[in-house]
Amino acid sequence: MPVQIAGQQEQSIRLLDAESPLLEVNDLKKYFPLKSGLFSRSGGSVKAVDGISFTVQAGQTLGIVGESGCGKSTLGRNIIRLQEPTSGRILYNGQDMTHLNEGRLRHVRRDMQIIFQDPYASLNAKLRISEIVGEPLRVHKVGSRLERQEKIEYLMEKVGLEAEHLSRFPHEFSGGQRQRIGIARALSLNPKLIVCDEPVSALDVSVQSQVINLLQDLQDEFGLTYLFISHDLSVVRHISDRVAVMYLGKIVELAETEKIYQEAAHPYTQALLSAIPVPDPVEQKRRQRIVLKGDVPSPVHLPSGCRFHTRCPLATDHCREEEPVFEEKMEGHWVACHYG
Amino acid sequence: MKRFFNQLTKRKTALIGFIFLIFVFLIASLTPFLAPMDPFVQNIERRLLPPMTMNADGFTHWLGTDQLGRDVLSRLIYGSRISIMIAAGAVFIGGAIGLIVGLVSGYSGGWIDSVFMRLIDMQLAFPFLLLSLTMVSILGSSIMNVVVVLSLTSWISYAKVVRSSVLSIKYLEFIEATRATGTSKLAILFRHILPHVLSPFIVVASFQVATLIIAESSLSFLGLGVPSSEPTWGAMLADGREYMTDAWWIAIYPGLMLMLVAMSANLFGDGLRDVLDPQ
Repeated sequence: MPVQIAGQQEQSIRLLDAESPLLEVNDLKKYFPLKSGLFSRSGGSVKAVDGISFTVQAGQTLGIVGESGCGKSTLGRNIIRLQEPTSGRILYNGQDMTHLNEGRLRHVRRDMQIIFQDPYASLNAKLRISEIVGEPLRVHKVGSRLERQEKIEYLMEKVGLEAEHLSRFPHEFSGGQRQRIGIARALSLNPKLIVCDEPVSALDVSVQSQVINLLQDLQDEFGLTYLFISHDLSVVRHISDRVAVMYLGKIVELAETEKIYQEAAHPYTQALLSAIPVPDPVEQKRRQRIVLKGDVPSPVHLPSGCRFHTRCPLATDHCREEEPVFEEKMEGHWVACHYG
Repeated sequence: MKRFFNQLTKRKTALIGFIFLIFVFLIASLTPFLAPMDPFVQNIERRLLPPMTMNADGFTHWLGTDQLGRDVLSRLIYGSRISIMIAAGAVFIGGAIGLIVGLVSGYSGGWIDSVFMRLIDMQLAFPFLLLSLTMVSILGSSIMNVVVVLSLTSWISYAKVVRSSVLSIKYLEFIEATRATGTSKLAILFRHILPHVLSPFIVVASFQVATLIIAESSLSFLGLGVPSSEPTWGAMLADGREYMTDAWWIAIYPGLMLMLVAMSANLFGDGLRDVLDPQ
């Protein structure tokens, strides 16, 4: 058991909801060291995820939004331990995931799966669909060959594909169909938690909605819990129960979906929301756009104080000096801003 | 497999190369039946006969005789056996070493990768021929030793190509997806990565066939290849060199065969690359 810092412990207790959550992430950090020079002297590090805490209740969907490079994919990969976190704790069903050995981790992995962004890179082009979807079953030695075959056919039907597709190769399918195959693979071990890493960003808008609906149907049917990572605010709004907004490796705001979209407290969230186009030209002209100036600062050299102050329209000297605490400003509405 | 041959037959040059290689391979495997005379029998009276000469026994020396009166055609046919055997053996052993080193080095990364790569850099710093000569003079010259030496000098080409292909696919999402299901590293390496590196590997191997046949000839030419009594194309070339002005046929025919085989292997390799890598 790692030594806990008092403040961390406190925060973890405050974050605990009434019933114990399926997933609890506690002060998670992932730094990628930068190597430079002849003998790999450490030249600082990329702070991709820099102290993130949240919980997800079973059967719910937590949306994670943020612009490219804010660390949202890294967060997802760390949670299912595809990457090793630098520090922090991940509790799955109350069990500490962070220090599991290879064997135990394999066991827990049956419960958590991931759906990827790129439907072209996420399927092995040299394998047949039956091998791709059936691989998790084979690896975990679930059932007999015949039972596995039945399960694969059942999964194919669940994601809206046909059993006759099983003998084909990935290149024979469209992007949307490939994503369905990826979903079938993720479902094969009956997981409880699925990390959806931008599952629809690479798809056409019409196909996007089909895949989103499929994900929702599957959630209702199997009681799945999703961690839905996306940069598309409208998609996230549609599918999420709660939404976390990330900026440069930190969550700046976390609340129920409608609260985020109606009463955003953090200036970054407000700016993001104002960028969503409105389908009414009159309204679109009338409303006020918050346009952020400048670029996202480098995650190697983070700004002092609040990391958003370089682009924040409300920034003051206070923001430049002191980093705001991520705290519950209203019931269930967490914000990290001095003024939000 | 069927698609593969369809594609290959569409590429004329590759097909020609392939057919010629098959032809040489057949000759090599059927030597005892094809060779008109014993390639080892010397007859001083019949030395340096030009091509198409009929000897006293009524047999025609289609390609003439060499300085010891041995039939050039028979030696050429026997020589194909050794050349092909050495090239195939060296491609097989060197390829196996290179494939494994490339896979392990590329996939594990870290210090293992650094060690192998520095090893390769070190070996690359030596000229190929110098390295082979040193090793042959230490090990002694026999067919097996030549195969070993050529394998040990050629594994680098495979290792480098395989390693870079592994690097290009090991960060793709399908590998991550497999890791997420809890597949072991070994299974990922052999089931998911190996099939993707096989096509560049086969292409390198086909080019290596040409290189190795010539390398064997170079060693034999320098007298460090297979024992001098064995007929090989390289050794015949070396023998014929001294008689170039009087009896051109001793050196020209093995030289021509070497060129044709190397060219065919290269053409076939080019075609293979196009077929296996549609991009």
